[in-house]
Amino acid sequence: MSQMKQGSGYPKAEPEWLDGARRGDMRAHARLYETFAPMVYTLARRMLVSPTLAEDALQETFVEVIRSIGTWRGDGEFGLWLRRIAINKCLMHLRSSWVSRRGEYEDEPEALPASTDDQLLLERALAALPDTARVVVLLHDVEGYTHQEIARLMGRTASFSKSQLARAHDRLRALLADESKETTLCEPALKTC
Amino acid sequence: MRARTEDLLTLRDGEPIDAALRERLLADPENRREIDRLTRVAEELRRLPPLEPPPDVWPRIVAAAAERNARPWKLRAAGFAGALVAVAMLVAAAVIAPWQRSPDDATVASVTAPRDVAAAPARDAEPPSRVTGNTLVTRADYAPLVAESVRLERLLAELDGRPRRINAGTAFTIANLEDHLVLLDDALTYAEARDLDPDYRRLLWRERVDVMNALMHVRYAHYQEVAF
Repeated sequence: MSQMKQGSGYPKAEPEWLDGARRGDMRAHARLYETFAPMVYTLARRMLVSPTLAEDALQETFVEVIRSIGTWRGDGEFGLWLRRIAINKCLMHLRSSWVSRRGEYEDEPEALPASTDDQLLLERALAALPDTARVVVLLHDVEGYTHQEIARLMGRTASFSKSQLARAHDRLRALLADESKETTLCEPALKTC
Repeated sequence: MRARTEDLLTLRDGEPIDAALRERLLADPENRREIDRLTRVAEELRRLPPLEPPPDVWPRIVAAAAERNARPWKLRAAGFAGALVAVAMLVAAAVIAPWQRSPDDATVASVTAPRDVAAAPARDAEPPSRVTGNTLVTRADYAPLVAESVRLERLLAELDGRPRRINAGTAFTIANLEDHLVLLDDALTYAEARDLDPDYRRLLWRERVDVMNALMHVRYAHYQEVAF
């Protein structure tokens, strides 16, 4: 379960990029960005759903890296440290009252790329979850955070995190059942939709 | 037995659970199938493909980082300038005040506050928090303006950095308003430190709220252009 959190799925940062970035070399920062931006954007997009907000979180995460890489002790994986910054930025966006207001001005996010129909259904169902339930299921089932860690991040209790995870899975099951029913009913070749 | 998803997830994740409950839940094949399904969902979530970020974000990151680095310098410079102005005003007040002060005028505030404002009577019905010379200093007089200023700061902080593509005209307007705020903050710092006339301070806070509102309008209008 904690596979991602231990860092096995992260891209690797070359030591010379990290040294350069610590000295303020923007070319080294650019290399780090090229390597890690897809990871951060993917995380932000799945947590926030909105492409605009995800882009903001991506930008804010790397601005924070430029500003505070000197404070990173380098005793863990860079990817892990970066991911923690990104998660905090996403949570800040979700806590912001501006997010709910600005949602009124945004178009529907375009469909996420998926290599299979099942993945497309899952992406859609995930995006349809309430914000808190979606964040908890991503942090727990994908990022490998424990309920205690999620509780600390969100300023809630571990039992809140557990109940949100259960709620997320109940909702996902219902959404996936609905989606697959619609997909089955809607067969363009048979002109059923 | 109809199981709760929370208990099935506890079993799926190998977390501690009452042994009797565990036995009861696992005795039901439907529950075991549901645990398998929950495991598969988590695996599928982890297997979702990575997404490519938009192509033009890095230059904006560089610009935002440079701006953030420059801001503390700008504020420090403004603070230094403000401190110089404050010292100059103090020296001027010390030199001029003895010559200007009449025996029945004990108000130091009138040296720096506008004359009509300094002469205005205290209107507030609430009891004064302190008295300086013959001037009633009532914080309640401008407390709502301070609160409004804080609220606008928070709203602006939420908008901070959101609109990215910005034309020169908007950037110039924003820079002018921000500079105006820096000067107002210096004047307010000085006014508060010297306990100047509350009406003068209220005027400064009023102006600060007006400038913050103007900044908010510019930023919000620009954000809407970008969002649409």
